[in-house]
Amino acid sequence: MKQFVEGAFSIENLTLFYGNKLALNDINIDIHNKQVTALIGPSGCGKSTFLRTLNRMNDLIPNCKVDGSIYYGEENIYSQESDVIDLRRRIGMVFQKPNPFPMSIYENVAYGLKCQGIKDKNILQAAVKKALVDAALYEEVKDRLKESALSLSGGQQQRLCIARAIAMSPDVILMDEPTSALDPIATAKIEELITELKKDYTIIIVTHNMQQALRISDYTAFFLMGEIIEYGKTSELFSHPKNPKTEDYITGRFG
Amino acid sequence: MTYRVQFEKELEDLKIDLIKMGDEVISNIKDGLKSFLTMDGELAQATIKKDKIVNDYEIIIEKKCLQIILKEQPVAKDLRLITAVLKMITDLERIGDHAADISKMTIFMQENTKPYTVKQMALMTEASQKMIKKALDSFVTRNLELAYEVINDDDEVDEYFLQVKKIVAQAIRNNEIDADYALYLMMVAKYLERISDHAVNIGEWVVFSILGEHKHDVIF
Amino acid sequence: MSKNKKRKASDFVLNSITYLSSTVSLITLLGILIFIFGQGFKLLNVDLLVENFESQGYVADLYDNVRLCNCEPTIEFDENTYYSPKWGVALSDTTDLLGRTVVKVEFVDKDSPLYKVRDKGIGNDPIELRDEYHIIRIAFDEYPTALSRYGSENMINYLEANDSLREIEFQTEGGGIRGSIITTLYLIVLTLAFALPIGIAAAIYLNEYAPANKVTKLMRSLIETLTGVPSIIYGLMGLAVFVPLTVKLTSATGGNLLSGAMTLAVILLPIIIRTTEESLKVIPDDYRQASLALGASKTQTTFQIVLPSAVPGIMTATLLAIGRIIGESAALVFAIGTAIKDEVSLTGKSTSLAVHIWAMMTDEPANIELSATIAIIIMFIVVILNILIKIISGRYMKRKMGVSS
Repeated sequence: MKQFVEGAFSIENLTLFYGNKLALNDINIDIHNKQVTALIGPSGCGKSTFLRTLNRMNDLIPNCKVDGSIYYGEENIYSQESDVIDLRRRIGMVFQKPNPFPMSIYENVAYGLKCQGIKDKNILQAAVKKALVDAALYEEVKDRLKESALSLSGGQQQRLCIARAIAMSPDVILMDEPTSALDPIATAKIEELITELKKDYTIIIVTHNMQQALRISDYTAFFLMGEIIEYGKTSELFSHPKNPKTEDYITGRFG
Repeated sequence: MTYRVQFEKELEDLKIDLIKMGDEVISNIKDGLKSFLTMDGELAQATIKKDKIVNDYEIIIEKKCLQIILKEQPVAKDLRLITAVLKMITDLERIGDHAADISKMTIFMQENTKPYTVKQMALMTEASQKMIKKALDSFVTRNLELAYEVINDDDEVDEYFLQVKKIVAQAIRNNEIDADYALYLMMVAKYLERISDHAVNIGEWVVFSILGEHKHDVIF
Repeated sequence: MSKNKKRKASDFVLNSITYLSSTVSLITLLGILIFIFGQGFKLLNVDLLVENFESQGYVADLYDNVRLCNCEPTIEFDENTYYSPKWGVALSDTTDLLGRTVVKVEFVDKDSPLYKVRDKGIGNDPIELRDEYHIIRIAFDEYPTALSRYGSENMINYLEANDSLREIEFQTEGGGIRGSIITTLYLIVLTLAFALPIGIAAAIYLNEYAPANKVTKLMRSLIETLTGVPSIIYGLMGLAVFVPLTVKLTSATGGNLLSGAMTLAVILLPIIIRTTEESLKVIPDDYRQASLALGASKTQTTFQIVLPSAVPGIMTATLLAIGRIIGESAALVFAIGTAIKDEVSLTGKSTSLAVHIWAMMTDEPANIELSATIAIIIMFIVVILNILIKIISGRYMKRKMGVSS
């Protein structure tokens, strides 16, 4: 009997097609609650696709066909009863390029809550402040919440995007290469933040940076050609990969 | 096939340097013992001088290792390999020092000492040289069997040491041996025994580089 | 070396072509501007903008008991103004707003028998002869009629020579373009009110909702084609569809402002759809994804993230549209008519400034000066609206997006 944990995923026989192209092939893993799980693998291996199945962002892509089941807590998110809007409120997402909306900093963070129908100014303000504090951005922007989010630096923008996601108080945050467009210092700040956030959130992060995966993740899944080649504790996977393909990839001898 | 041609080349270079350092060390042991057995002061001096080459190799290899770590950020087996090299050169350097120490014995006793031939000394030297060679071979070829063999070979050298001790003790009792010479001989024997211990260490690092465990503890 | 020379030569030729072309186009545009201002500037005054186009004509005669005044002028006149002490009026030759030579009343004495005259038309109220009125003719009992075309001096001489007159015909100034300006503004507002919501909604559909298939493709190319259809065709459609429609639904009896605005709206739709779609297209997909990932619905995303981001583009579309509305004449000739009206109503005939020009130019003789003046006014309106929209959109961007543009 399977045990269901809120904030954890259990993926069973997940297969995904883009048209006729097999993008994910029979994925079976359990993602642990309140842990950082890194997804690594070469470009086009399906790791981003997999990430996007977790909050059903792939629904937006025409001709995308999903088989198998993803249990989030007890709920199969690909079942008929599952409400995608509600799902995405519980599973936040941060993208590769910092993409704050062209609005003020405050509006950016409040946007998701407003879409939920929350209109009370006091509630919104408190939530925005909390999210910004949690995203370690509040001190930097507290005097200019009304200014455009686009006036922030790249790293601040990305932290704003994280704040925007955690303002919804989700259980899970999905991150798709969140630091690939940032400089090393901004990257370090985000990594620091991720380590901080994992106390409260399950974090699943796609990264091309092995060292980053090593630094911040507890578990790592190695994807290759739409399959999970190896999944396990990060320390284990990066010191004693079980599969030679994993070893070849992490030591840079892929081919 | 690899996408990290430069990295691979650097690792190959590292192995070659290690082999060369090993060769230097082995020849120093040989020369050191030869100088001792033949009371050849000049050869002893030359051997002591040659120890500098070994020391230089250590520094060169250390630098290379650190450069590789810095530039290539190795993980998994690569990281183990480089760590093992870093540890192994320390042992090799110690072995080199012992070879020089043996040569120094020659210089100390040069005057008014009478040689006494113990055939086990030559055997011991041969055995410890072989161990070093084997250890390095096992590293280069990633041969776990060979590495374990080195670790076990230590018993043979220890056995030789006991035999030498016994023979020298007997000779002292029989007054067949010059007292100074006996002491020097025992010290050389001890150095050889230490050399074989260092060879065992190298073997253990070879095991680590392959399995990630050192003396049965998984450390990486 | 020679290769270098060759490259330099070809660079020179290409650069020269660009410089030459831009100079030619600049000179052409400047020429047009100089022509318009040269021709039209002298007629430009406030009267033109606020006056009625229709001049009110009156035919009147004297009341029975009036006496000649024989009064001295209370003010000084310049040498081109002629004064009749007997009648107490001063007249001068001048040109009216339309550029015709007319006799203008410069001064009427309070005691003049002409100060209050009896209306020979309907109505019993006395009419007053006022300054600025134009006298068309004065008929006498025993003298030939003094016509305006013989000039003011002649008219004064005739007046001095007579003690009474049989009838006097005069008219208010007229020739103003107030009606056409109002019609044009009405057209802009109404047309935008019709075209913008429909156009933007259509663009949103095409860009955000329409499936990427052949039907959508066909729709797009159809819209593209519509941009190239001559506006006179739209005018015919307006005449065939919108005029009957408005006649049926409202009190209109023929071409009217509503049908004109509808026709213009149809003309503008393809432009607005295309421009808006272009501006929607360049909005990064990241915004949509980010919004959706936050649990916003597709509709929320479209209307709260995508559409506001497209405002600058939509503003551009609006500007283009306004330019087109003001400039359009061919379609309006059918859809709204060419009648120049002072009283503008939604269901009545009236005319935009562009058609006003058309009417002026089809007059006999063509009135180039007035047309040029109207052209200046049109340009002025366009510039003002441009600035206005820039300010509004700037404000909007700053308020809504926190972006200072």
